Amino acid sequence: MEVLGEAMGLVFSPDTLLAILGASAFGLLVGAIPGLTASMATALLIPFTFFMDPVPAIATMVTVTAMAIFAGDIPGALLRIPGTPASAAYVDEAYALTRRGRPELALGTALFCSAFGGLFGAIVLIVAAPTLAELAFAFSSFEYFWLACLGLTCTVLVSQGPALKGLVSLMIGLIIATVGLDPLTGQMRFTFGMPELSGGFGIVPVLIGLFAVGEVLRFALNPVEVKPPARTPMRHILKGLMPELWRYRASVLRGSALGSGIGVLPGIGADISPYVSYALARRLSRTPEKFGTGHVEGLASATGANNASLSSAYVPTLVFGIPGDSLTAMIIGVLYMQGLDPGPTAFVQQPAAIYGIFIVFILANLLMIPFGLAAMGILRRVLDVPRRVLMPIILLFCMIGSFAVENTMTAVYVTIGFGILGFALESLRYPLAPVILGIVLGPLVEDRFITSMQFSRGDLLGFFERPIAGVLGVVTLALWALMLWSMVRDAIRRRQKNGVLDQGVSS
Amino acid sequence: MMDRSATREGIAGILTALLGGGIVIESWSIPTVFGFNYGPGFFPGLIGIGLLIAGIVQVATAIVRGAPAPVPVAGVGEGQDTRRWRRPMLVLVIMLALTMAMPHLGFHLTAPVALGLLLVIFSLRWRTAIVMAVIMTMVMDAVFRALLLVPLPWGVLTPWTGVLAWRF
Repeated sequence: MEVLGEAMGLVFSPDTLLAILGASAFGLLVGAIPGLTASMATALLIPFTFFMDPVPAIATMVTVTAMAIFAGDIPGALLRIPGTPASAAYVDEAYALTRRGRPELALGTALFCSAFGGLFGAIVLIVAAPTLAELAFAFSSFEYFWLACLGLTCTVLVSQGPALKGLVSLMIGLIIATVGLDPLTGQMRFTFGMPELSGGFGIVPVLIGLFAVGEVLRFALNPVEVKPPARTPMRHILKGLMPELWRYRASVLRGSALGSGIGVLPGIGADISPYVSYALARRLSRTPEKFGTGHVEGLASATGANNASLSSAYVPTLVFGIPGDSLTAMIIGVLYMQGLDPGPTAFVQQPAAIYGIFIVFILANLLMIPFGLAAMGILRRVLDVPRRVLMPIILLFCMIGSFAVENTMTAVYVTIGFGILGFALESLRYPLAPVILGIVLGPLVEDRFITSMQFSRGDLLGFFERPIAGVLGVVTLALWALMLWSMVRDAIRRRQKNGVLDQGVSS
Repeated sequence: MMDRSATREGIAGILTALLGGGIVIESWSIPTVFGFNYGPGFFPGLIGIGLLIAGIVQVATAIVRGAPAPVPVAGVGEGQDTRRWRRPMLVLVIMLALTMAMPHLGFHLTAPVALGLLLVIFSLRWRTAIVMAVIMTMVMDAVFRALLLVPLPWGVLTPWTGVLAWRF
């Protein structure tokens, strides 16, 4: 109880409330601009968290992601441009509602279901995290190694595009993490004689480069401005919304529960839950024929799942230090930067900060409703802001933001370098999420792997001797086999398809 | 003959394999430390081998497929004018020039020039670009230097730091 009071004090301090307010405005604004993603919004705010105390810093991160992901539904509903990969699952449904002349219903559903889903996920986080943290105390290097491998494998499996490319992205991330001083032996690796790299690459310049600079370079190559939509007359957002949502309460609840469940799994993140939730809502619906024509049921279920998984993805992040996706990977970077090392010990050593984070989740999702309602009119106008004006300004912010964290121009060079890498990888359809998870989890995987190898004296069977490690190991290996099988099957299918096409051409 | 998409995949595979090979060679050259069975090059070496294999598989797939299903690549459309690459290249040149010049000339002189040029490259009119560049430099100075106390480099303006810092 004393801890809870202390946590309340940390959250309801002027610093934290101001940080939440600023992050809300920034997240809503950036998320609403077509083409600017929640990842970019989060990456741009990281340098500012460097100057904050731990709880306001995490509050900033939690709030900006929640707000930006909701705000990403605005260009989705009005322009059919998904704000995040996850919102692509229901963008057609939302846009169909707008075309039917009900944009307020699409936006209202997105707002309220996002907030409800976020709160549901936060409750799952509050209940599950301390319980799992107790379990995590029994984990040895073997369990941590397999859990991290499982998370990384899931990231590759759920990333967009071929699994092989996801795997290459992951290995690039893992190798980037090895640059600098080896923590075990103190030897330099891949620094090529540059003392600036002895500490490895700073996580902030890397994140800003990959997500923000890469995005600007992509726009520079293909500067397509999104035409602002014809102003669809919009009624009051709350008019007729509640009866509509009440009618589909089971779907909203199911979507939120499903999203929370998926988010808890390490390495899965928030990206796939709306797809699964939308598909399930359609399958269980009494009116599946209405899906795709602007049906509230599918939209409500999927948006709820999206924000629910965003909240519950913090369970593996906080308990095991294993992020679910690129957003939670950024949060881990901020946690380390603030000296709040994620893991079960954080629940014992810094309980007030952990409970503070829980309260921030509740607060951010509750504030989403009044802020979203108040900002809706302004946010619709944000769609008109030309990106050719924003992008150069963002670029300069990226460079100065990177400099601000390390006070050295090396950080700016790193940002530029990783901007080029992010641009190249995305242009060739290599997913970025595995890169960033590889960078964040690389040190943990290597440390636990080497420690486990020392313990087992090089016997790989030793990795399966402990019960939990054995189960995690078998599941991970099964997923690797599944990934390999899907690669081979795709190759065979494609070859057969090409063969049929060749025969068709020759005949 | 392979189509452009397959060629691109093949080149990406070759680069991946080369990266992997380079990492393996570099990892093996890191000396192991007495008392450690697995030296600092062990884990990166494994990753290097993984990249090498993945690159070879990518190249083999590109060759076998010949013409894989066309994949719309973001911003890198087929048959597009190579002149389109000028803009990102210019953006990179400006970023590098700004990074190199800032420690010597200072943030307050280099940032408005770089931002103004970037805005013009992104098709904004000169006059608007200059006004926006000056205003945004002042905003960034206020946020980073005055508010967050980041020591932005003054460069050649260092002798007048006191007056300028007070003015801003």
